[in-house]
Amino acid sequence: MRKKSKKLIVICAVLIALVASTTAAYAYFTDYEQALGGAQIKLEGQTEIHEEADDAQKTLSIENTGKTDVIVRVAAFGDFIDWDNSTWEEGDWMREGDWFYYKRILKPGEKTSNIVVKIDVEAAKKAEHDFDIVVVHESQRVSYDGTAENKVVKPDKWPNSWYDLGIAAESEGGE
Amino acid sequence: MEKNTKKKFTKKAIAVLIAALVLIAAGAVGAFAVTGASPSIKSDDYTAEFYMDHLQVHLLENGKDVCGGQNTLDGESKIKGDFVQYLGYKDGVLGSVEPGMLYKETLAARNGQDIPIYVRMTVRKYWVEVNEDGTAGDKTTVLAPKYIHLTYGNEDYNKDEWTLDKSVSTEESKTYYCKKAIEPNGDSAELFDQLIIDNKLTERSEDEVTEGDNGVTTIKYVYKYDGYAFMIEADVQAIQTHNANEAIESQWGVKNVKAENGTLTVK
Repeated sequence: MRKKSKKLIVICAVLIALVASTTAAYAYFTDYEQALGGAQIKLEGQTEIHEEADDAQKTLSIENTGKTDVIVRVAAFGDFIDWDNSTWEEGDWMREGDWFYYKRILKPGEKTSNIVVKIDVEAAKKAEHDFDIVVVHESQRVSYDGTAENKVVKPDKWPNSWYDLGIAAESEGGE
Repeated sequence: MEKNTKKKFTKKAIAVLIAALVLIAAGAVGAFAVTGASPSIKSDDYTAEFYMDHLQVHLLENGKDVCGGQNTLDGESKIKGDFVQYLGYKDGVLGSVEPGMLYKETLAARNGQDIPIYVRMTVRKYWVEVNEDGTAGDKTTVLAPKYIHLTYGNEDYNKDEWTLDKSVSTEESKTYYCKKAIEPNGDSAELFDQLIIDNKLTERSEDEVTEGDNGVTTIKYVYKYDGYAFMIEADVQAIQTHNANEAIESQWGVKNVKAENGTLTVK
């Protein structure tokens, strides 16, 4: 008889456990979605100057061969230099002192418009010594200011007159 | 005497058994009631379709469902969507980003069904190395997630409409709860609306100077953080508004989030 009652207790316990587990298994409505994405930062700016010599002048342009947006400037140092104003006035370049500053952001793969440096041939002929002309160009990766306008931050070496142009990236992102 | 007792226990046992079966049946009915499922009715003349209420939530990036509007029922896993496709990300291949530039990046949730829902969104931000094939590589701890700024204007997030569970927040992962239930077929308020990768990453570590044979001197700026990629991962989860507190505790496993007067609060 004791065995029987024990059996009963066990059966009841199992049934109660079943009922309890049924309650715990109540399901609720849920749903989810997930997404993932990313992008690489490419900070290394690299530029290459192209020079085409033709008689007493050189045609210069600078190409962005790197992986990030850059700004560029170019200068030529030496005797008898005569910049061809027609190639930069009212164009993509602005002059400040010895340097010519490109007024656009140069994206990877893009090339500046040409700028021409000439030699004052008559003056050079009169010269009684040899002379060199050194062309220098400098590029700097663009730093954006993080505002809705995405304006370019002025590098230390770039003049205020260039910054006042308000050079900014075209709007990006979203739709 | 012994026979009588035996009979008595058998009757009791049957009674208990019946009672237990009734309870089990009641439990099953209860479970049906909670899930809202109803069985189909079928006869030779008439067939009623099986009907089941369910929830459907969509993850919106810049107003678009990034998971492609997968129409699935409750509990089924879904295809992961691709974020920041405007930066070139697609199917695991990374795009590129300009540090310091502000990108429009809104994240929100959409209720794709006809019953209201509560939602929460877990957002993870981290950095990875980049494989040669341009895909995301191993996670790196060289860069801090704090340089990945997902913000709502000048605020960390839309604090009027969402609330942060600080108890589970880390620099890499944060969980936000949308305060108000999303109405049927409606959208939540935006959690974020812009993305900026911090300009501090552009600090140079050293410069390399090389003298070429042609007399050209090249100065190369070297950046410590060049070549890494940021990743953003978001997981939006929805839950029923009916019996919300029980549902939240049971399904989301949190006790500090309560639904009161149609509003979710994090205690």
